[in-house]
Amino acid sequence: MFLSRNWLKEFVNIPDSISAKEFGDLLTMHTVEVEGWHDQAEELKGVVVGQILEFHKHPDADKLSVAQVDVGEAQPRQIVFGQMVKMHVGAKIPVALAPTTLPGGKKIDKTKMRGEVSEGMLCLEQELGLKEDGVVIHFFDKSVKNGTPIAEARGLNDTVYEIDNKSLTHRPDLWGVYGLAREVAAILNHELKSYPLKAVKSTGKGPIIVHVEEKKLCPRYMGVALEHVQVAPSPAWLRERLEAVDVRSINNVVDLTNYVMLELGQPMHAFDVSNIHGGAIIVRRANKGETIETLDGVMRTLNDSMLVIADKDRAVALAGIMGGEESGVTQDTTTIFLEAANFDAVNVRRSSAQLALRSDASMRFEKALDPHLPEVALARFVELAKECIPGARPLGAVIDKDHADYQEPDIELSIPFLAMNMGIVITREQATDILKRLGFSVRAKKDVLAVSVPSWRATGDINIPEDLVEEISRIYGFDNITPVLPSIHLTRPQHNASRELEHLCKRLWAHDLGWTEVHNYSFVNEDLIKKIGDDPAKYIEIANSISREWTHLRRSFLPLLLSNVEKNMHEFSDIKLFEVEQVFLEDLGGPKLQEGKDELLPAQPKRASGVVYRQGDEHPARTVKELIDYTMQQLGVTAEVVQDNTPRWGHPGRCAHLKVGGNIIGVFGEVHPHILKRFGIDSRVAVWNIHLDELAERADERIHYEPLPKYPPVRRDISLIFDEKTSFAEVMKEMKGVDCSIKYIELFDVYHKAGKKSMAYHLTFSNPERTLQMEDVDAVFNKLVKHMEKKFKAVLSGS
Amino acid sequence: MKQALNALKKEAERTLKKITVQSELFELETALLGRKGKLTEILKGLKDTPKQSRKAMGVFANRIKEDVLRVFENKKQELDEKQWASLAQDEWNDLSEPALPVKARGHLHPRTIVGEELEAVFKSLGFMVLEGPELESDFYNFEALNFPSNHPARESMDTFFIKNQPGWLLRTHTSPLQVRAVQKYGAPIRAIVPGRVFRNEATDASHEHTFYQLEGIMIDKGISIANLIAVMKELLQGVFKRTVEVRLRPGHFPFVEPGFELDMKCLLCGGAGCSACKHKGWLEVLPCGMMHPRVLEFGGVDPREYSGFAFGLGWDRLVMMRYNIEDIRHLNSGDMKFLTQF
Repeated sequence: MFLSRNWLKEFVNIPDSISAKEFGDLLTMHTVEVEGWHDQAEELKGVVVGQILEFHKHPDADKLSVAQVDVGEAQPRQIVFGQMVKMHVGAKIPVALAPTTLPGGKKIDKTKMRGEVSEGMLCLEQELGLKEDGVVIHFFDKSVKNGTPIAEARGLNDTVYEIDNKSLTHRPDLWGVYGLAREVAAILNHELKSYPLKAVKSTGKGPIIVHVEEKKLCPRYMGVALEHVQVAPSPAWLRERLEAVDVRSINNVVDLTNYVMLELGQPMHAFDVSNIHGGAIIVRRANKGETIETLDGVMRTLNDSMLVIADKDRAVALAGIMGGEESGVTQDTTTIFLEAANFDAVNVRRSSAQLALRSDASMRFEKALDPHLPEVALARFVELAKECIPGARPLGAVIDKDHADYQEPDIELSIPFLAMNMGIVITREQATDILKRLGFSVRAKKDVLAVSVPSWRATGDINIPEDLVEEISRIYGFDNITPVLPSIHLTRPQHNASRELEHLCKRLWAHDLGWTEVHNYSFVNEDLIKKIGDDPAKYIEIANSISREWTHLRRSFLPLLLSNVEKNMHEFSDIKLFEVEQVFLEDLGGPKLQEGKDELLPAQPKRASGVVYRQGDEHPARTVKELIDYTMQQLGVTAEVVQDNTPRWGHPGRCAHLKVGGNIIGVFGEVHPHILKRFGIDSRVAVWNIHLDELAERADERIHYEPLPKYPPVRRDISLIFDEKTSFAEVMKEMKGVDCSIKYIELFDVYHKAGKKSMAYHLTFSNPERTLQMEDVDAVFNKLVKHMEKKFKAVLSGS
Repeated sequence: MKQALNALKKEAERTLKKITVQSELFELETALLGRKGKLTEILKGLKDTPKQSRKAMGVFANRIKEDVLRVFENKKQELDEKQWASLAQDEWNDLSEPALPVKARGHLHPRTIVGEELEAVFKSLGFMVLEGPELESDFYNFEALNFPSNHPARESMDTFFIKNQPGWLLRTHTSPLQVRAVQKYGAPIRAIVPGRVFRNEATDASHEHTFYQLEGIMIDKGISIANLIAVMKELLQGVFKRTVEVRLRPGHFPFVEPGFELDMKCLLCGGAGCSACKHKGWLEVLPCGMMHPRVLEFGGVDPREYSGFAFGLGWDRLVMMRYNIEDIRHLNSGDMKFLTQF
């Protein structure tokens, strides 16, 4: 929304000593966010009144002329110009003096045009940002002195602020100049001029009767007819005011409805009475499928949740949103019916959303307007019409169908409560003064203020004492509140083990093991789900997805990790990516929908997952195993690796589950080559997935101190040849059980050959009671070999 | 005998001068001072020395022996030094070479790097770190945060809804945890909630439908606006590791009253205006406010007894500011050209 400082100044004194920036900052700091401003005088400062002394055809260009122009300097300037407008000697026109920049950013520099020097530019209105289209140049009166800045010569001394509409959503009163003037008056502690209002005096029967069917959706409907209307261009001041805030001038009637809306925030509409069938206006719900062509020329189909203004036969306007094309004001209109009404905010907002039609009117109505306003707006229109629509006069009495609920709540505000909330010392008098400046009425009883909320703030914005704390503190100035750190009771914050674990794991994986963390969307689609061999029905579906690419919530990281590989493999031959996030499992119960109720949201456990791809690597699962082993070791978790129940996506011989205490806490292995094919991946890929939440519960102290051994340990290596498919884990389990003097077993080499594999271990023997003798160690060693022979048909290597 | 001793000393001195390697020195030492060496031989003559001069002769012999030993010692040292003198030449290594094979470095996501720092700052001030479900209920995302069902702010949140589950949605902010946390832990409480949130809006260089926030609340007796400003300032100083200037201006969010936008004076231009702050001199860094009494009530806390404030940090914005990242979409792109820079 645009806000003109000159318009504001009609209602409140704003000293010129407050600069454009300072004034913008005041609004931002106390009321609404100012996004920017433009200062006409500042922007036009390089453009002055110049007089053409003489001109002739450019010797070297048919369409150009060369003029000598008096711009109030010692010497005239030579300026080359085109043939957009016919020029004559003696004409006084706007001249941009090189070097300068015009509004809109066009730079004017001293140049040579086909050999002729040009020291500026003769400016059209459009080039000065004063008119949007057409070819118009402003000729100044002979009395204007050459060299006068045109902003001064034409009274262009306004500053126009752009206000962020989002910062106005809760403030219906600020959608008009007067409401903002009230704020400015409160901020500057200046007087707010009362709004000029003379009630419309007219009696008798008018041409239109009004019937409101939907009193809840239209709490108040006011209107009055005006006859002897002559539709014509608006007077210059009205046009300029509207154009300054970026509203196009159309004709005097429409401009005036817009003017009143911009000033008061109350939208208005003018109907041509000759196009209202049956002399009746009915405020009713639209019929399902009813159509109306709105003023923007679009035919719209309505439904029965929408409110319309209708005549006997058809809808003539969308209530609170936009008028109809057929009933609007035209050049031939002589009698108008002027509407100023109050519509239900929620209904206007919903209808405008359903129709995808937002207008200046709907933006205001959807904020819940003060039901007092229609009366003020009508009076203001009629008053201004005297000047802008000469001859027009009311025909018949003002119609007022008023069913509004005038809420003006009383709120009790205690001063100690106020002071505690603000964290400063504030007196009853200060608080009262601020509230009164904002239009609240206040009665003080000792420490408590009884505050009456004015009608323009009572439609939802101000209800509770905390709302008044805001009013007082923002006018008092947040900058005037001295920051104070709170003094509190020390409490030990709850330890979040799973978050700590997450941080630790990420660092292990990235810093120790060289993996790279990726963040993918939480979304997948049916195609991706099917590519990994899964069923889309198991996935939670978004009702209003952003695109067909992202329709379901992911249960697993796999599809997106494989996509990551596919996208990166052309530039990276070594890819190790991991991600930690929530997944969405509809088949399991998660957090409560609401405290005190049994219903549950889906489970959303936090999972860590990764993918490895190395061009040409036939055994990527080994890189994953390195990560799994290192992680478990660092976390002090003993996990069992169980090679059964291959997951749907998995390579049947190269996948395993991780189990702790019989519970699955993860899975890893190679992705089935046919799935990789579907993703267009040219080399083997392995993945892993760890249930981080469950792991956090299992993580333990990884360091177990033991007193130093009294007797020296004995070390010996063993190398055994097994069948290729023998599990290391099972061998390990068996070895550990052979004798208690085998203290450590460490695999240091594996060698595959002809369906066999040889595994070599370092063995450490020790006995807490005595020094082990050669014979002792030999005995255990032989026992071990025998057991391995029996259990696995293993053969001692080299024997 | 005296002569013999002096001769020995002379011989030692003379011969040593010619010696250039350790082994020769060792040989000479054995020949002169060894168990069967010349000195031992000479000293055998001591017993033939007249008794009255024997003591003096002994002293003399000892002095000579020490002298000779000293000369040997000096020579040894000389040879040692000579041996290491060419070390730099003989054994020079190029230490500018990287150790091979180069160990591939891994990379944390920039969000993680900044997030861990943020959490550390908050933990140092006694805040707990909480997490909550990304698929939330309408109740916690809106209702309990004082967005009644007809509230326009609800519609402005661009919410993703779930098919056939009217009460479910993807959380549009981390604020649902305000009520969940208070219900679980009661008051007083200090907590932050880092996490992923969703808005159904078109993406461009500064908008994402999936992004990260960091929510915070503090509830205690007598918490005021003055406290809020001070704590926010403290936090920002912790985050940016330097003194910052902040200002509050009005902002509207249904779950706080009063509500604020907190701006920080631009660290790049110091408030003069630059491209980073869009020539405003101030950066909008966090929306915040005093917790609405209805939100406290939903959490089961009596607003007459406790008050508190809440704030939301745009985590992704901080990441982008820290590393001068020009396009928010890089963060979720999975592009290793981006990820491997951190």
